[in-house]
Amino acid sequence: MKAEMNAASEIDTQDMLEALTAEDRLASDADAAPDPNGWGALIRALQRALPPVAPRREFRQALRRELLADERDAGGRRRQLPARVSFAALLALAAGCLVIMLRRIFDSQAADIADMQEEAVASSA
Amino acid sequence: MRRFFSRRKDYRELDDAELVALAKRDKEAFGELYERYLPKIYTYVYYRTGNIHDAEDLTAKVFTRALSHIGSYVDKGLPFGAWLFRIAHNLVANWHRDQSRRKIIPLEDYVAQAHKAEAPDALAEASEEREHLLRALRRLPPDRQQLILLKFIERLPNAEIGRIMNRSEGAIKSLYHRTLRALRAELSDLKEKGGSRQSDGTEG
Repeated sequence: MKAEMNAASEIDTQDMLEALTAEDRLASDADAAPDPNGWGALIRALQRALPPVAPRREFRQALRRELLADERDAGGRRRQLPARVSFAALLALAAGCLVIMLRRIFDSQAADIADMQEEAVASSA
Repeated sequence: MRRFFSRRKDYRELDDAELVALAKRDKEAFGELYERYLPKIYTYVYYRTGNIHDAEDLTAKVFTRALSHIGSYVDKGLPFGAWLFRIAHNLVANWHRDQSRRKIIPLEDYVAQAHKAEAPDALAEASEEREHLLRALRRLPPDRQQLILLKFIERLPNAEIGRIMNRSEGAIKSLYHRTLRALRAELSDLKEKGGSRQSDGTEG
């Protein structure tokens, strides 16, 4: 019988501690909560003593760079680009290749014409 | 065509489970998880170690380990954050084991010095009461420290804390009660020691 009462009392205390720890209770009517053993003061002290701590910005950025390092190669950078930018880059690359090919074709034709002109001049002479 | 020209996927709109699935092959997805959990993991490690240097070192190890193991991560219903906290807990436990082997400075002195010298501005103005409380907290067994930090810093519900600590929700409630009792006992012990030292003229 005594053990049962102790167990019930233990559960009541646990429930009370959970209620006291709940933020809304603490913020509003903490003093009104049934708290004969003064647990609320300890819980409030814990909440005051443990604010979130922000990491340094330098650390945050450096660690991110380190973790994502493999993505920073050319392929990785390309994958980061929006699709339309990738498409524009692809178009520019294709256009560049086309210009180079056309120049080679026209340059070889120009060279042939020059050779023919030289031959014509030589034969007339 | 419209899809082709649409903006790339915004990772911030995805939930953790989707990001974890993507992070197995896309590091940018892991980057989003990193942004979400860095402050939480850092805060947890900071309070467990008591100084910025080790907090940064261990936080970096947590995320490096998470990145290297995310390929084999299997979603068994455990939140991703819980997985990270487990990694952090294991690394901090190893760190404490190494520290206790070195035994250079007593832990309480070390903690007090660390807070005075290295704590961020918001914490530098810590009251005497707060220092007492943090000292008392660090004298508790690691699992009790972990419970307090997950409850007060991360504000996790008991069910989730139970998943992180491999205990039932009821066991967490019970442990919380025992932890507060132990904390109160440690606090009064510290105050008694402080009081007796002051009356002996050994301090102040």
